[in-house]
Amino acid sequence: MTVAVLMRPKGITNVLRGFTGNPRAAVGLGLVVLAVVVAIGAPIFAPFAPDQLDFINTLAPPSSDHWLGTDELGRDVLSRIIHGARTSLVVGALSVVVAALIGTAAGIVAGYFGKAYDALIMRIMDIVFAFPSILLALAIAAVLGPSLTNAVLAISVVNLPVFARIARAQTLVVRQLEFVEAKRALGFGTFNILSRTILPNIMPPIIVQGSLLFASAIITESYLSFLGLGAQPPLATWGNMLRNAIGFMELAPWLALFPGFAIFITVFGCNLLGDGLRDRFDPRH
Amino acid sequence: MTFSLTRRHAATLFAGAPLALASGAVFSQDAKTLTIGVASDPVTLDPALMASFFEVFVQYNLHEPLVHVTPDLKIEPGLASVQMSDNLTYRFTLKPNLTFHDGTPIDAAAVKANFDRMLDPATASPRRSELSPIDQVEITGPLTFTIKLKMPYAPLLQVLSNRAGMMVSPTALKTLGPDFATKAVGAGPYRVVSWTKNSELVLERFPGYWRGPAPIAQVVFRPIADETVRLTNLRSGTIQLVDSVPAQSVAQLGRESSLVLKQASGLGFNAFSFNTTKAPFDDVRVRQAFTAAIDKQAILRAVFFGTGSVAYGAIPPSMGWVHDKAFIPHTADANVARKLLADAGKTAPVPVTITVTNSPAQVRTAEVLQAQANQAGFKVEIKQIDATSLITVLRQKDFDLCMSPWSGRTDPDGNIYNYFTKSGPNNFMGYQSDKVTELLEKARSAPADQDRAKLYREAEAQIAADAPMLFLTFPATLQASAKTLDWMQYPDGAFRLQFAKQS
Amino acid sequence: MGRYLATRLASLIPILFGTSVIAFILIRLVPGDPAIAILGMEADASAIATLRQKMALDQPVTVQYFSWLGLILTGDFGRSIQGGRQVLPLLLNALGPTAVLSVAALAISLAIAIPTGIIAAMRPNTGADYSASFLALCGLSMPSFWLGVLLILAFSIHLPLFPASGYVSPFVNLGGHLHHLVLPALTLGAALAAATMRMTRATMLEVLRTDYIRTARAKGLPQRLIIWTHALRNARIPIVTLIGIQFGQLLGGVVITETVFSWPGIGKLTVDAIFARDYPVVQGAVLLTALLFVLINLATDLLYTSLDPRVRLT
Repeated sequence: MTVAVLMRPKGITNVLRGFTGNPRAAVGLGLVVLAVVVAIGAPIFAPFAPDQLDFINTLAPPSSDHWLGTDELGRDVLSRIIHGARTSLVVGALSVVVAALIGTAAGIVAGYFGKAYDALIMRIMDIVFAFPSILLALAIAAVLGPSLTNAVLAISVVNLPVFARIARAQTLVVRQLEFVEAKRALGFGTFNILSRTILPNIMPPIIVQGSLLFASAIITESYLSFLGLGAQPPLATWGNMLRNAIGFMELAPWLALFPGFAIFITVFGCNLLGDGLRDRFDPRH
Repeated sequence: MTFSLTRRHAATLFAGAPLALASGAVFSQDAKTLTIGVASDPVTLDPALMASFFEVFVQYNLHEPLVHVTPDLKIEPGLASVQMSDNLTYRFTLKPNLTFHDGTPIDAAAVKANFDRMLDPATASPRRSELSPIDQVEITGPLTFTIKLKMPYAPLLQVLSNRAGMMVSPTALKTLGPDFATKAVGAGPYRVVSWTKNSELVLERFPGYWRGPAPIAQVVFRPIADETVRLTNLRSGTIQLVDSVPAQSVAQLGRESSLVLKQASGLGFNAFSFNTTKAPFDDVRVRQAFTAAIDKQAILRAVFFGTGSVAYGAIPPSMGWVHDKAFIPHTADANVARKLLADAGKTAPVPVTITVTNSPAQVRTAEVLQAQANQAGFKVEIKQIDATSLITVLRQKDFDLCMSPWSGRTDPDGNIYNYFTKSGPNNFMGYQSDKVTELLEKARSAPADQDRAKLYREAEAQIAADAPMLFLTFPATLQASAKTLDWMQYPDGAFRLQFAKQS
Repeated sequence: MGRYLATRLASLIPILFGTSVIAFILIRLVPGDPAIAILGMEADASAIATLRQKMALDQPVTVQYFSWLGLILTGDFGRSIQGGRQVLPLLLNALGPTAVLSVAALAISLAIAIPTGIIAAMRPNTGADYSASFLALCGLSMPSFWLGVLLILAFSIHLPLFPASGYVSPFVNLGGHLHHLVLPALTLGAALAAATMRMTRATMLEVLRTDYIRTARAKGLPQRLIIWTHALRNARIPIVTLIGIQFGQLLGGVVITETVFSWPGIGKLTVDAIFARDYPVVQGAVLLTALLFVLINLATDLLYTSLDPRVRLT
């Protein structure tokens, strides 16, 4: 997983150990891996090109030729869902990674240095947090104009405070610990302490949060696409497929059913995975 | 009065309850209230400030223009009758003893106050440009006035049959101030009872309407954004009339015996403006190539589900006296397109961007254009913008090919002059044709319809040859109602409920 | 207590100031000139200039902001640039439907979540527990706009039981009001129920393990009494906290539900205003929403203290 790349080797084994003896997490991981494989191999798995128009076969119900039917321009729904997996996963993953990187850094700085840094950073985060997140994402996406990159940015900004708050709280705990004091006494540089001691020790809750926010980022992306603020056509995304399907709810309900189900099952997998990771790392649950 | 209003309300609203559904007919028998589902709330009820399509449904119920158009677009008297002394002088006579909704008399002074307001730059009225040929409005008696023009302007009466001719109460303008936009005191068959944004606009019939009180006592406009949901509500009986029936539902609606689907050729066009001020569309051959690459029939079928008709110009079939059915200046042919591109010295796929608003139908159009153009030697990218920035993008010419649909006017001048004259405000294409400008100026001032028709046809031929705009289709006006409602459909899609009856 | 309240209230000021500045700047950065958009295709350049001047759009942004702020402090939220309605009544009118929807959704979620959470906690790791947890996870993973579409498909189009959209004022017709409320409240309630159920289950599990409950059991008190009086009383603090947090988040959740169901609340109003570049409405709505959000958080904290005397406010 992308998030795991940030980890030090010890952290990775920690994460992997989380799956043994936790069937829910394993199922979650399985679903997420499946989605990733489908996304990567989209051109191989998709029976048709996602933007291939066919004016003879429009709004065809599911059949042996088109397993999930065709849309109003005769495009194969299954192929579009398979290609749409790419958009959803890329936007979900990138937005969480960007938010995690910036948010965690800000949280560590706030927690470790305290005082004015803390006050300034956390007030900014409070302000961002006080916006209803979907409105903020919508407004940012509207400012930047509809595109994939801008959707990533919009969703990242919204998720920043979550990571900053967790990182700050954890840093406050960790910086008091003896081995941090010891390193300081031994004259290690601040950057060294932050990156080699604090960061690895606060990673687990960040990763847990990351996997849960990955799920919500996928939903937010689909909602932005649903409002016409997501990726550009003819690129298929689950959200813009749903948006398009609304006008055909009566004539072709499968257009609304399948892309929504794709979002649902992927998010379901991420949530299972997140739950499993939390069981492993967070003793309170 | 409040009480009876509430009861009528209750009856309409309960029609949605499960119990009522089984016997929905009981409630549609309430002939006193008509509930209408429209796509969106109006923005303003002040005709001097109306600028959106969403006011069309409401405007003729609240407001009465000086003159009327019939469904076949002929002028008939409204608040006033008119005589032309010469092609610069129009003498109007107002009907006697009429008042606005608030009791203010409708006299020549009130009419002049309305024109002064629309023409005052401080009002920032969108009406100012269409009224610009007016030199002065002169009061000649208590009920008579004369409009003098700076130059002959044949579309004047058609313009005055629309928003620019809708008279509002000068007293109410003063007393209501900025609240006038939500309370609008006019002279139409209905007056405003209440308007809750995003929820409902309630009108009641105005006893002093000049044609006599309307048959239906109360009208409620309800904004329902989703087209499928609008139809669902029509079927369940919660509403009895809907606008903007989705094209994909037309076939199915035609088979439902409790509903009536009405369709008419509309006034507007669906088209895309080429930016002729920069490469690649500054070259007429590239524009012709793109035009040749597009199969309009395919668009009509795939996007509009066969409703309406294909378009080769700006003047729709509803304007029968100008529209020429035999005018087919080009046919779809990818080979012709490729040859034109080669002639223009373009070998590699020509990259162009199509700009559309993010509504599903527009995106669908763009996707079909993209697929077709890509096969004829273009490399098309689609750029989505939201509807509010569309006019800004067009005005700034920040596009290669951008959608520029027009809802249409009852006079051909309103569809063509502002778009294709050299300094026309809607000439987003940057199209500079002396010949077309001259033809359109002449058509505007020619007195006889036959002469005007000939000039417009000549202009359309030249425009087709220069290809500054990619015309796609003439949309149909698609509306549906409960069978129990007797109403008349107009090509502009506006409801004129003074003529509607419920049985 | 009084001093605590004063400090907390004072700390809201920078947050509200910050949100209003961000909203002010963001909406102005969205491309598309409101004057051009409002005047439509027919307007000439002079009309556009006049309107920009009327809306003070020709002024520097800082001047615009502080004159807006000055008016806000006197209670004047300005007028909508779409149709000229006063912004404050517009916001207050939209608040009613949003409040009704939120409370209904919360009620539905509690009615589902608390009993299922308790049952799941009473029989941990049984079929009942697993299916409850599974359903909760489904609820959490369901994009609410998709759920809304599914409900419309099922209960408005296939089985026409409930209206697919619209709003009826409860003062005009209470039955019609509730009838329109069902589908949006279910949509919004589903995700809330999922989170509350998980919280209830976890907290109850913890409480049931305490010595206090064990003693009660040892004394032979009936299971039902233990659960509904002793255990639930101890579990209510985290649950109330969660509900407080959810109420805050609801303000975001209603945005989607209101758009799908054309529910004329504050969420739909804000989204429409963003798309229409209705600056005064966006600014007012964001300020009001942020204010509600921080006040609800504060109220949750206060409620928390009154429920648990051990928590002291400092």
